[in-house]
Amino acid sequence: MIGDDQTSREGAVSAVTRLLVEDKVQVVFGGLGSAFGMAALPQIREHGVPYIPTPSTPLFTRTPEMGPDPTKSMVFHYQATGLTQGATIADFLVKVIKPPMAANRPLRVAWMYQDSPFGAELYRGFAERVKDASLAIAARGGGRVEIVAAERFRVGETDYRSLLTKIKGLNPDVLVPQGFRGETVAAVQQAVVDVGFDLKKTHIGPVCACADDPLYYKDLGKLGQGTTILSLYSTYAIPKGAGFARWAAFRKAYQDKYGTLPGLLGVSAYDVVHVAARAIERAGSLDRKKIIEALGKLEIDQMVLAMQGGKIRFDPKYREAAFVLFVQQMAWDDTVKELRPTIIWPAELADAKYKQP
Amino acid sequence: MDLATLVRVLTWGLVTGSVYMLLATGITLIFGVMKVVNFAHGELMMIGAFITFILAHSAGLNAYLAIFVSMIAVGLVGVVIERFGFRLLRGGEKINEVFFSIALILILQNALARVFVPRFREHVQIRTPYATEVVDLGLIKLRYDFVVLLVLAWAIITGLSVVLHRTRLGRDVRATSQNRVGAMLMGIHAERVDMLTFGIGAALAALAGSLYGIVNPFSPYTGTLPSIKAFAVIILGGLGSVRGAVVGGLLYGVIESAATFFLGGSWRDATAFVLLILVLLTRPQGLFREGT
Repeated sequence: MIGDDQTSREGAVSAVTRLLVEDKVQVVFGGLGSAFGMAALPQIREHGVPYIPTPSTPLFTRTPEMGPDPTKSMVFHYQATGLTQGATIADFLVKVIKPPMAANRPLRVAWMYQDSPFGAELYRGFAERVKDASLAIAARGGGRVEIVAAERFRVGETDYRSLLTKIKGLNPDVLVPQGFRGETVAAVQQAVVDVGFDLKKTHIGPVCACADDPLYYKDLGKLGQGTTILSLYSTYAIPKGAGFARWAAFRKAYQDKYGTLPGLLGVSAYDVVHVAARAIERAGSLDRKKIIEALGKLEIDQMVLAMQGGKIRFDPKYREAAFVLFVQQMAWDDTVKELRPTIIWPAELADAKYKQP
Repeated sequence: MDLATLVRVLTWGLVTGSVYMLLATGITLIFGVMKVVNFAHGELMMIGAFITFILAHSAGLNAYLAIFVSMIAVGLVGVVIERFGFRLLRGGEKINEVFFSIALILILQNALARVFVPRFREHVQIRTPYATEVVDLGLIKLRYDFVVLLVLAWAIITGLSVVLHRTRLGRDVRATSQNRVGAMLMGIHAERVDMLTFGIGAALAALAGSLYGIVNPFSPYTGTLPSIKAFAVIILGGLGSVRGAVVGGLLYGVIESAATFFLGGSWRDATAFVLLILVLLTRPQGLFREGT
């Protein structure tokens, strides 16, 4: 059963209501964006249906009602949360970008993020990690990270020029635009072409893992050279290591079937179908409570996305799965006339080191 | 704030304001003549943007030439909407016209989404031959696209003003706008004027959409917010006043840009509406009176 959220909160509520009331589904999964999935959460709670969201906001399982009490929680979060992504971006910036750009002074970082649960939690993850003492130790040589701007924009915004003009005036070393794919492409293009950000002086990225999709590489174009993207699934690159062995076969099968390569959200949805199926198998029933119980105890080998420890499991406190994250840098490929990524961090997964433009 | 930054913020405001100006001028022309509020004006804007996009992207036509084809096509769509929609509702309850235009929003939006989303997914942008070319204006470097946008928007508005004030057609439009019955008694074919005015308004929406789509990405749903703002602009400028739509549109764009710069992106939409409320409280008729 498919419910179309029509990229709106109202659409999500109406689609999920239909799935629950008319179709009487046993499990709900997916959701295109955090705001839309969150809007449908009250209906899901009311019906006590297991839900496996794939957007990034941690609020799916960290709201008071969804807290650690297993009798209340029917939500199992299968996506790298905004908190994790934000914290990983902080680590990357301190360890990789700070040394060449601000070795003896604090790294000046400007955030520009979507005004939604998705954007807010990514920023919160970053800001909390920046305050972390261990990161300060990693950032040797003149302080750590200074957040010079944290600017919000509305969902679906297409014109970032005034905001970028303000940020440029603050002389940041790094600009981190956090939005959906279309928003990110527009923000990066306008930063470089219209507002005149010089990529030699200001690093742009890492942008959100959710932007990793074939259209991102195509739409961003040559202007995106040197920028970075945080990923847990790369459209084109494959990290080193056994944990990523299935990617090539998965990509080929997907392309053969649909004529295009999958993006992160497609891969997440593919994995979640298997997670739900295994939970139902183990529950031995379509009873919603038994499926919730089975999901809570589930521990299976990872599917396509690489998991910490190689296993899909939901931690007992927040019922979140833990993914392996990495950062890629964009370079222009003249043969395909599109951007292509190289994995640059962490070192154990990387093919190359970060290249300053 | 240094001078270059000030010029940048003003420029972004003028660019956005020019799009509002075109949209608002179309709405106010239609309202002035027909006393009809077409809430689906934003959807005509998006049809215009998508026609230009398709002509430039798939047919390989120069995007700036494609704009004129798009204006003609959407102008004809406007004529059809007037002839087989609003004209049939004329004389009935005003609420019928309101619901008709709301229905048009849903029909046109979903039709566009049905055609374009499976192929292009989230957003598209119109590429011109000068997409990365920059002109150095001293204080700022500006993409050619912005220069062309400003020149084209102003040339069309100036041309429209000449038509409205120096031609027989313009005289008929102004006469119908001021006194429909009187105009008909003087031999003016009011229904033909309605049709032409709706066509011109729709063509202006197509121009606004195409120019917007050259400098910003867009989707079938993008037209809603600019059209709401264009309605605010005509209330600000004065209902039925073309001069009000021009001044209001530019003012709105500049205030929006300044609010984003000084207060942040979350205030972008709110600040301009605060201005609107202030104007309505102090000058309920708007900045200019009807018919100017």
